[in-house]
Amino acid sequence: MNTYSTYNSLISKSVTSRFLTESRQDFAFNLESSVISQSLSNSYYNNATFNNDSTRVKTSEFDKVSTELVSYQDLAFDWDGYDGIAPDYTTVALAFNFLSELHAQNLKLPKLMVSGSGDICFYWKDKYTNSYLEVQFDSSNKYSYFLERDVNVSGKDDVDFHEVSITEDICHFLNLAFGNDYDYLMAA
Amino acid sequence: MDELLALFSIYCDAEKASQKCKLLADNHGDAIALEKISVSEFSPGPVVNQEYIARQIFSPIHVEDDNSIKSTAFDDVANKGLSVNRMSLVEVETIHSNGLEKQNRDNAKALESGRPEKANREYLGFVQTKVETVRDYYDEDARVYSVYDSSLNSSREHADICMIKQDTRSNDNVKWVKMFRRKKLQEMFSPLTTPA
Repeated sequence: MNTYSTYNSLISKSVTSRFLTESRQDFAFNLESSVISQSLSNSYYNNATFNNDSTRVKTSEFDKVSTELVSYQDLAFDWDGYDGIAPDYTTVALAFNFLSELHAQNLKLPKLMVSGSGDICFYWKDKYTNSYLEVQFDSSNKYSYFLERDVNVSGKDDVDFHEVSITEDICHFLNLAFGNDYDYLMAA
Repeated sequence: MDELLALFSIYCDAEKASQKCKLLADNHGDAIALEKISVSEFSPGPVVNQEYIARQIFSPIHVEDDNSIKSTAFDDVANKGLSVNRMSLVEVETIHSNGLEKQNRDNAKALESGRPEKANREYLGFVQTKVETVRDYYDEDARVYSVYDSSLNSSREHADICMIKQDTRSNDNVKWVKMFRRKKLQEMFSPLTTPA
């Protein structure tokens, strides 16, 4: 299975029909742009054979997380018992694109949360370094995040994903907590 | 003070009520003073620090693998107020039976209205904490949360937690600071207590 067919499978399962019938092609456009941009510019995908176990596991994890993410759009009003609303198209699309970029950069994929206000959050907890990262997507088509490491907390509001992609400190955090940097530090 | 009190009235404009916490935060001192008086005619009295409060959970989306609850389950605390039950006024069994009744009632309503796909309400249990823990959380030397006795005619044990602290560091810090405080609130609550 290659990346493009993974996206197509997701889109055809639960996204495309709904978005096309409701004439909301911006989300589909974002997904498509993300696929095109990855397939053209990312060597990870260009060179991947998708035959080794590690890639298969990562693709399967991506499928699992992205399917959960896309399912949020189908939440009915009052889904949480407290008049909660579903995330809108813009929010789901932005979160999906961010997730795709994490996958493309081979970064640790997040756990997901959704709020009754319709915001989607990604989060990562690392008990070894006692650190936490949370990224929130809302209908402003931007994301906000905070990083917590022991007593140190920092964050930023309204980052434009289309301009900045994933911020350097988020990449650094994920590499440090979950990537090769962490393995190196633990081995040292 | 009367204007803040009116936010808890059943006659309060819905739009205003949905922004209750923001309006309280604009008047931080009064919002704290308001905890000491009853905000509802159905209340037996203001919420005291020694009480425990419980938040019912109605969606598996909010539940972590270890039975803790994700922080977005507490999102109402920054806008309309987080509904909780005062455990000094209601038995644990009643909190569960009320939750299960709501589950059955909502599912029956969905089926009656010909929308079986919406008959998926699931009461999972509740999480709890001590009021004092919530009130003792400070940021920039100011209280972040308040707890009000917002009893309803049908549920005198009802109370609300509200985020009453604005972020004064910068206008660019509104969202992430709220997210961070929401996580701190989540950490104050116990794992899920499930019905027997």
